Amino acid sequence: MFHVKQFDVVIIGGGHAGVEAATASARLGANTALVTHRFDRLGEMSCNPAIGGLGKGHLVREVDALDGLIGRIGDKAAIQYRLLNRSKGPAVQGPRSQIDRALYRSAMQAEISQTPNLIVIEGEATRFDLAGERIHAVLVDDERIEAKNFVLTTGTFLGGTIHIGEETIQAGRVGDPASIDLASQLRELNLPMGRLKTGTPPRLISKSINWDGLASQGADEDPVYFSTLTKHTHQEQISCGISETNQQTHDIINKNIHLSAMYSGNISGAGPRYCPSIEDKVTRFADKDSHQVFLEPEGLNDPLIYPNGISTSLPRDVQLAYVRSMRGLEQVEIAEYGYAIEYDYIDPRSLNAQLRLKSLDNLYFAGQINGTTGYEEAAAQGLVCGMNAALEALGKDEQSFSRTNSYIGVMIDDLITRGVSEPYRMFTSRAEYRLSIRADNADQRLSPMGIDLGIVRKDRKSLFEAKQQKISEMLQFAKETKLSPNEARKLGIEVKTDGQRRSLFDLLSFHTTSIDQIAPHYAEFKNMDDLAAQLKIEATYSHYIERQSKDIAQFERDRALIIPSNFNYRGISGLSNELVQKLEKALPANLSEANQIEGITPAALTLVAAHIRRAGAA
Amino acid sequence: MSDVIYALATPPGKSGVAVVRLSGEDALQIANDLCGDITKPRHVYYRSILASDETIIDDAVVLYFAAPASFTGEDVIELQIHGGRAVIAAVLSRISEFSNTRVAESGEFTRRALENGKLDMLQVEALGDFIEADTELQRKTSLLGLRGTSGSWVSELRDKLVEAMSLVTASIDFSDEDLPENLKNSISYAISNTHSALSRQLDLSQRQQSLRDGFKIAIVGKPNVGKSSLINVLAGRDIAIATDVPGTTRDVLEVFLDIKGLPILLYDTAGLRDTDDHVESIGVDRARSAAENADMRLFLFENPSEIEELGIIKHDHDLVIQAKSDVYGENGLAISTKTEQGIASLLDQIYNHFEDITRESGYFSHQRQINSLFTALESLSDARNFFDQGEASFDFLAESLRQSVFSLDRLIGKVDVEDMLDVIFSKFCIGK
Repeated sequence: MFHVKQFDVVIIGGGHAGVEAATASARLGANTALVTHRFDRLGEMSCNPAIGGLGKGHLVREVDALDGLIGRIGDKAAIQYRLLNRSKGPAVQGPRSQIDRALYRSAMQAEISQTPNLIVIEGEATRFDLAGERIHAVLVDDERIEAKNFVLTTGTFLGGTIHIGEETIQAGRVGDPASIDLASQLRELNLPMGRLKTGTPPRLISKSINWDGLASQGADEDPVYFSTLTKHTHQEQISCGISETNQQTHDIINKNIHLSAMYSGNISGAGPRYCPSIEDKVTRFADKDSHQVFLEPEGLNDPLIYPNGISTSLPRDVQLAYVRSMRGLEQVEIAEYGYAIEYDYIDPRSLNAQLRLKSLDNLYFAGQINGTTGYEEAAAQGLVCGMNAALEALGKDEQSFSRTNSYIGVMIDDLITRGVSEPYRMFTSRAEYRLSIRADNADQRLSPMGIDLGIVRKDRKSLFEAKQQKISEMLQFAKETKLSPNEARKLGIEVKTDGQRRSLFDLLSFHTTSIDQIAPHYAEFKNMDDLAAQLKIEATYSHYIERQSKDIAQFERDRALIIPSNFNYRGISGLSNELVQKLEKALPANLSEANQIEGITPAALTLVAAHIRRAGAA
Repeated sequence: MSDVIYALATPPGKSGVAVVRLSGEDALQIANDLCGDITKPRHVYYRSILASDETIIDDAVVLYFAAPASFTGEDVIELQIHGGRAVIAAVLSRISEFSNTRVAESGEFTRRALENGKLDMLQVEALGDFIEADTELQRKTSLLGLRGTSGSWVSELRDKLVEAMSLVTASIDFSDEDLPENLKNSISYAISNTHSALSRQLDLSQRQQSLRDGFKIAIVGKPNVGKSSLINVLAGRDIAIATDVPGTTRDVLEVFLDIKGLPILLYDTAGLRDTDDHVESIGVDRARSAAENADMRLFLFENPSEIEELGIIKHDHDLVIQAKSDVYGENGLAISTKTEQGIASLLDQIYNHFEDITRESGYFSHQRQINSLFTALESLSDARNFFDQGEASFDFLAESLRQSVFSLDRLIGKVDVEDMLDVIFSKFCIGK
C-alpha cells in the first residue's frame, strides 16, 4: 500500500536545475517537493569547481535578479573572483569565480532546508502515473507523490554511459545509479531524442604537485560579486596554478589515441566544439605544440585539483603518463580518473517557451536533459521551469522571457526553436542585443517582473527599489545638468567649442570621458560608486541602444503575433508542402519562432502572418 | 493543399498567340481534364481544349513542367492558345469552373517561385527590371541580377563579414583561453577588405541606379540660346515650344532618349536670367535645381562669356557647346539646330562619357538595395574606427559588424519581410 502525498509542484532531480526549480516554485508560494537520491549531494558541483564566465555570468546575474540561488550561494563559496574581459567593454564582461565545492554544497543544503513551502524527499523516482496527456503522480520507492505539475531535471540519466579507455559503465555520474525505470517510461513517450557526450579531466592530488615551478593566476583585487545582495567577500581568495602540455604529452596521447573511447568508435554522441578533450586538441590542432592547463583547487581545504583543459577518455595508465609529462606534475597522483560520458537528451524543440513538453499537459524539463551543459545554464532553466510550474499550479499566468530582455530568453529561444547539435552553452555572442542586456543591469531588467510575480522576496525587493530610486534621480540629474564647452574643459573633457551646452549624460557618452572626471564635482554622485559607474556604462552605450531598440521593436512585433496552436497551415494557399510539414512539426508559438525554423523563407512568413491577421480580423 | 493559380501570361488584347499558365499541385490533373492525356514533362502536345459539354473551345499547344523543375517550383501547365479576346475569355472561364483553381493574385507566380527557393529576393527584383528593360544596357544589367550573380556577391561578402565577426567574437568569448596571436591582423584585414569591396560596389551601383532610371542631362544657358530647339532635334520631334521670344520655356521639360542603348533623361530648362516675371522666376529656380541634380550639364552659349554669368557649377565632364554655329561659326564643340551640324558629334561625346563610367557594372540599382548597401558600409566604417580604438571597444566593434551583416541580410531579403515584399510585389503585374 502506497503512502500518498500531494503537492502543487514536484521536482525530480537535485542538481543545479532542480534546486533552482524547487526554490523558485516555493518562493512563489507553491507547495513544492524535491525528489532526489540523497540530500547530502544537493549542490554538488560534479564538473569544474567554478561558476560564471562569459555569458554564463550573465545567466547567474539574471537568476539572481529573480532571487534565485546560484549567485548568492556562489558568493558564499567563492575563492577566486575574476571579472573576465575587464579590458573589453562592460557589455561583454562576465563575473566568474572558483568555488569551494564543500562550502557550496553546505551553503546550498542549508538554504534548501530553510526554504518555506519546500520539502526534500530522498529516494528514487521510479515511475510516472501517466493517463492521457497528464501525469497524476510519481512513484518514489513506496510513496505515491501527486502533484499538479512535474519538473524533470535528471541530467544525464537517460542512457548515461561512462567511458574510460575501453571500459564502459552504465551510470549517470560516477557513483550514481542511473534511473532505469523512469528512463524507459520516458522512452515510451517517443519523444524526439539525440545523443551527446561530454568529458571530465582526471582529478589530481594537490600535495603531489610541485607548485614552485609553476606560474599562477591570482584573484582580482576588487572583486565583482555574483549577487547584488553580496556586499563583502566571504572566503579567503586563492590562486590557480598554470601548467601546459608539451611535445612529450602530445606524443603519449598520439601513441595511445586508439585506446581513447572517443576515438575507438565506442562513442556515437556529438561532443562540444568549444571545450574539446585533450585528445581532440592534440589531433585537431596538431600544429600547436602546447596547450595551457589551469590547475584549479576544488576548495580551500580540499585535497583535489581540477586540471582545466585536459578532459579525456584515455585508459587510466595513459592518463597518468601524460599528466606526469607536464611541468610541475612530474610526481602527481591521480585521485579520480577522467572519463567521457555519453547520454541521451530530449530534443528541446519539443518544449514550449515555459520549457513544458508540448505533447503533455504538465511535465517540464530543465538542464542537461535538454541538451545544455553548465551549472549556470541548468540553473536558469530550472528557474524558468519552477516558476512556470508554480504559476500554472496556482492558476496564474505563465511567464516567458524574450531574446530582447535576457540571456535566459536567448537560451530558451535557441533551445526551443533551433534545438541543439552539441552540448549548448551560453556565450555573449548568442545575444543579439548584448549592449542592452548586460550583467550590470540584470536586476533592472528582470527584478521588476520578479517583484510583480512575488518570486522576489522582501529584502531584495526593498534593496532593489531603493537602488532604482537612486539611479533614476542620478540619471535625471545627469540629463538635466548641462555644461558649456568651457565648463566641460575645466573638468578635463575635450569638447568642440561650439557654444553648445551638453548634459553630463551626453558628456559621459563620449568614449574618452570617465566617470571620475565628473563624479567628484557633484554632491549627487557622492557614495554612488557602483551606480555612478553604471551610469557611465548606460551613457556609453546609449546611442547604440537607441539604434537597437528599433531592431527590438521589430522583433517584438513578430513575437507578439501569436500563432494559434490549432493553426491550419494546410489552409494557406501558396505554402509549399515542405514548409507546411516543417511548420507542423515545429508548431511555433509566434511569428518570431517561426522565423527561426530552418528553411523558412520570408515569403512563407509573410503568408503565415497575413493569414493569422486575416483570421484575427474575421 | 495549395490552390492551382492561373492567369494570362501575355498582354490582354488581340494577338496571334496568347499564353495561359497554371501552377499548383493539381495543375496536371486540370490539364488532363481540359485536353486529355498529358503525361510527359517538357514535351510539346497539340491538343483541343474542351468545354464541359465536350465541345471544342480552341486548339492549343500544351506544355507541362513537372515540379520542382519549373518557374514556380510547382507543377506548371502552359497553354498556348489563339490570341482572340473571345478565345482567351472562353479558356479562362473554362479553367475557373474547376473548384480548386483561382485567378492568380498580382505577382503570385513569382511569389511562389520565391517561396519554393527558385528565385531569391534580388532575382525577383531583377526579374521586374528585366521585364521593364527598355535599353540594351538595362537588359544586360538586370540579367546579372536575374542569373543570381549579385546574390552570390552579397553572400560572399556576408561570409567574409561573418568571419570577421567570428574572430572578434572569439577574442571576446574565449578571452581566457590561448588564442592565436595574429587574430587582430586577420580582423583588421577582413574589415578593410570588405570595406573597400563594399564602397566600390556602392559607387558602381549608384551609377547603376542612374542606368536604370536614365542618366540625367540638363541643358542650361541664357534665354533664347536655343535649348528647346536642341531638345527637339535630339528627340527628333517637336516636344518643346521653341520660339525666338526669350523666356518661352517656363517649366522643366523631361524627354527620354535612347542613345545607342544608354537611357538618357534630357531636361530642357528655362533660360537663366534675372526676371521680374513671377512665373518665369520660379522656372529659373527649377532650372537651377535640375542642373545641380543632373549627371551632366550641356552649357549652351552664343558668346563664351555667358557661361560664367549663369552661376552654375561646371563639372569636368560637362560639355560646353557653341550654339547656332551656322551664325557664329565653329568654335570647339559647336552645333546648329538648323543644319543639324555637330549633333552627331555631340551625341558621341555624351555616349562616350556614360559608356565609359558604365563599362564596369554595379550589381544593384534599386533604392532599397542601395540603402542597404549604404547602411552596411556605414556600420563597417564604424567598425573600422572601433577597431582602431583597441580592445576596449571590441563590444562596439562586434555590434557594428553585426549591424553590417544585418543590412546585407536585409539586402537579400532575410529580414523586414513584410515591408519589403509589399513594395516588391506591388510592382508586379498579374501572370508574370
